Amino acid sequence: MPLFDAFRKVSQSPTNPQKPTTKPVFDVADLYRGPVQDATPATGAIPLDEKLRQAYFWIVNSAIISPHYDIEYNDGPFQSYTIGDFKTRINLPSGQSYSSYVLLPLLTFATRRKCLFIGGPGRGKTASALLMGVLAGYPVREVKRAMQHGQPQMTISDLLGNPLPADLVNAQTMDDIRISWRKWLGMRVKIVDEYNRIPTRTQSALLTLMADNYAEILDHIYECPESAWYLTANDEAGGGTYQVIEALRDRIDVVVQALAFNMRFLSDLQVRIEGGVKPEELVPTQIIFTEAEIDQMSAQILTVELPVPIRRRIEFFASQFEFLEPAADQLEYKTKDTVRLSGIDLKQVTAQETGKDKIKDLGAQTRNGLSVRALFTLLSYAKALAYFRGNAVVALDDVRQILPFVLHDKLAPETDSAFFDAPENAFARTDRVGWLRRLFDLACGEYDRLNLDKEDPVGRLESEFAAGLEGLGETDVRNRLVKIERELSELTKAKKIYGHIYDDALKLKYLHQRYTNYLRWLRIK
Amino acid sequence: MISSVLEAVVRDERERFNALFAAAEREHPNLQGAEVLSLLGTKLDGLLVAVAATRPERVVAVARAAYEVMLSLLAQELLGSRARMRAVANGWTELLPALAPWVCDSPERMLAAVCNALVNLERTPGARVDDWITAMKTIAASASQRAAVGVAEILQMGQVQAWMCGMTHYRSGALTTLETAPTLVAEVALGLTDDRSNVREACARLRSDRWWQVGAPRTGANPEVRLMRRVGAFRGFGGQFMQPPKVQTWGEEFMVASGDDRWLLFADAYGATLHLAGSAGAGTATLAPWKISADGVVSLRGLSARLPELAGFSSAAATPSTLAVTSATSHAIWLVGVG
Repeated sequence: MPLFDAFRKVSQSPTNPQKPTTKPVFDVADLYRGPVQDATPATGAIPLDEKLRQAYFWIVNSAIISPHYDIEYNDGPFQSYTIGDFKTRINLPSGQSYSSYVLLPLLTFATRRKCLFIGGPGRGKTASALLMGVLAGYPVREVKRAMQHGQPQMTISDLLGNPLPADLVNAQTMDDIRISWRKWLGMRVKIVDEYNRIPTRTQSALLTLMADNYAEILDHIYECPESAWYLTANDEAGGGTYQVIEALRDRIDVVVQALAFNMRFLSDLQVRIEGGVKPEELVPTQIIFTEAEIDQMSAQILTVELPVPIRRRIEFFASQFEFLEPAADQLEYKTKDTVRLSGIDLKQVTAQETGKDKIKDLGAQTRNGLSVRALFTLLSYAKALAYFRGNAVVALDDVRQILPFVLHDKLAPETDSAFFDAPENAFARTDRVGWLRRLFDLACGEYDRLNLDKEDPVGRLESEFAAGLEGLGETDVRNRLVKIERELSELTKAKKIYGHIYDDALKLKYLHQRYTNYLRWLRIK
Repeated sequence: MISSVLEAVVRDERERFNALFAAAEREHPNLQGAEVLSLLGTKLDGLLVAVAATRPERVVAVARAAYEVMLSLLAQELLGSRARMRAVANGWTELLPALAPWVCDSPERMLAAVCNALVNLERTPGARVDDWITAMKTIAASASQRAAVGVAEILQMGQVQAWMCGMTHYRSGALTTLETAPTLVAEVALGLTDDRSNVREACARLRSDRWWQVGAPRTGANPEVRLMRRVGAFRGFGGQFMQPPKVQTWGEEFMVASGDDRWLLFADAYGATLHLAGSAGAGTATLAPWKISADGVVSLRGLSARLPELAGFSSAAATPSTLAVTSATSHAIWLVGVG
């Protein structure tokens, strides 16, 4: 008989249920089965992805009142309705769908990355972060004590620790000074509440910690363990008491918004208030992860396969944004980053681009391109989502669903571009998640229109090269060089250059150079 | 008066304990805070003191697990003033402190296992729960001297002892445990710690002769056919049967029919238990190699005895080691063996 169903029950594993037999079986192991549930953490007994799902369902069913299923999956056809002047769609997903507010922090926990909660005060951002600490096996009190609360007077010492006063007086060298490091540095879940209230100087220390995973005081280094980070901010746009330094914002892997409370669930709140129920104190031991389990889970996530067709779509999508034709004379420098480094207003440069369909050009919608770090994060979270869903292979939907949360702060919208002026796209000025998902859909639509799954000559040349140069003769190399030159010649027939064509051109140039060098080597040999 | 160990735990874990109680109370409105407080002093304290003496660093972990188990038992009326059984309460005060070293290792598992075992033993007619508590305390004292006895081993010993304390339906599983578990499980569980050859011999004898007990003479000088056990009674007197039963053979055990009910009967030297048969299939009318006459003379392979209780029997069935006999005028089943 499960105890305290409402707040303690962990979902049963979705195993293949069999019709129970009534034939009596007398197993001596039954001696220890009975009214008291064995709450021993099931190390190794259930797969870790199953345990992760159990944790998710416990949180959504018992801990966080988040009745939102904004990460939608469909198994076949689904019902959809429209409502209101703006023709708002209400989808009824036919597959298991999830609440981003719970799922994203959990995936961050599994991948040991960095998650920013945004949203107005009192929406449970800190409470959610606290739960993640408890999932890592820390007592609630310890997690609370280790939580860093951003405030205008926060110093580096507050954040990292202090040199021991006696040593400061007596030390002859820096090595003699012992440092009392703050305990939170050694924890596997780190929480920084209201990080946009931390003074700029202290933000820099936090940046070192987040970026390089170590703390430094007076030449003493503290190496932190791999950990999941949770930061909260009331104002994501960089507001708050202090402007958040860009490098620090860039270190955040996913941004998740605390959605508004649905008043139809006020009764749930009432039950908790009247019963004095504190979900963080009631986390079932079955869903608490040991350090080894978290390590193992992270390793398992990396083994999830990303199929080539999915990767190609990500490449195609990501290639749309960096290219800016008027930015430079030389091909390699025709990027938005070149403009940014020059200090000139991007709009001045983009105004020189004429003749392009500004709505169709996805690159026109952003002020920047995607960094390697952003792509790295996207792949990691896509794998984590597939893993969470119990799949060994990433699906296109996994990428589509996770992408807006990863690129939330990474891809800055150019809200003056024509796309945002269209009435049907007006929402995209305020809804970053919706805009990014639309952007990906548009990219996929274009990818399909170009039939790149089947007709990808650059991809073929790439595969040919990836097979290796070992044993390749001079004639073969020359043939390949001709094929590259012919393909480049085909590319130049396009009247307008878009991001993906730019990347193809650079790739062809790269391949040409590699073959040229190889040919040179063959001749010398 | 509570110990300083419990005092510290309650001080540090107050918020968690209160939250757990609030959640439990929501589902079980009859839970009384005062009763929980009382149990903390009378049941939890002793265990925590024992834990503190063994491994003080495990006190909090044990306290947390124990508090949840206590609440669960209280909510189900298995502990506390409304408890429907006394074994669980005795187990908390007498047995769990003795098992402290293993409770420290795996609090959730040990506490659940021991409490469930106590409930199962008390719920099984014929099982001797007090004997099990006593036996487990002896085992704990003996096992604590051996480094190789972990949680798995102590629980295996508990299974063997449960069989020896009257959970006869676990005979087959317990014997398999004795044969397959590390030797020390059999040594400690059977109390044969001096001589390893004795252990092997005892296990073999227990398997081959269900009417033999550890500690009994190795071979009877003059084995004889005799009444070994009387099982079952009229339901009106606290038994199982509404009508006088009849027996059939069911594999190594017996099937008993009484009116529309069918029961499985497990019996050996350590006890006998009856269980509703469900869809256990049909029994068979087997009597060989035993013989029984209308005047109650029973014989087996040259051995014979007149047993007046069996005269005018209404049904009889046999396994190689046991003859089960019923009478039209009684609700009991007589079990005859050689020993």
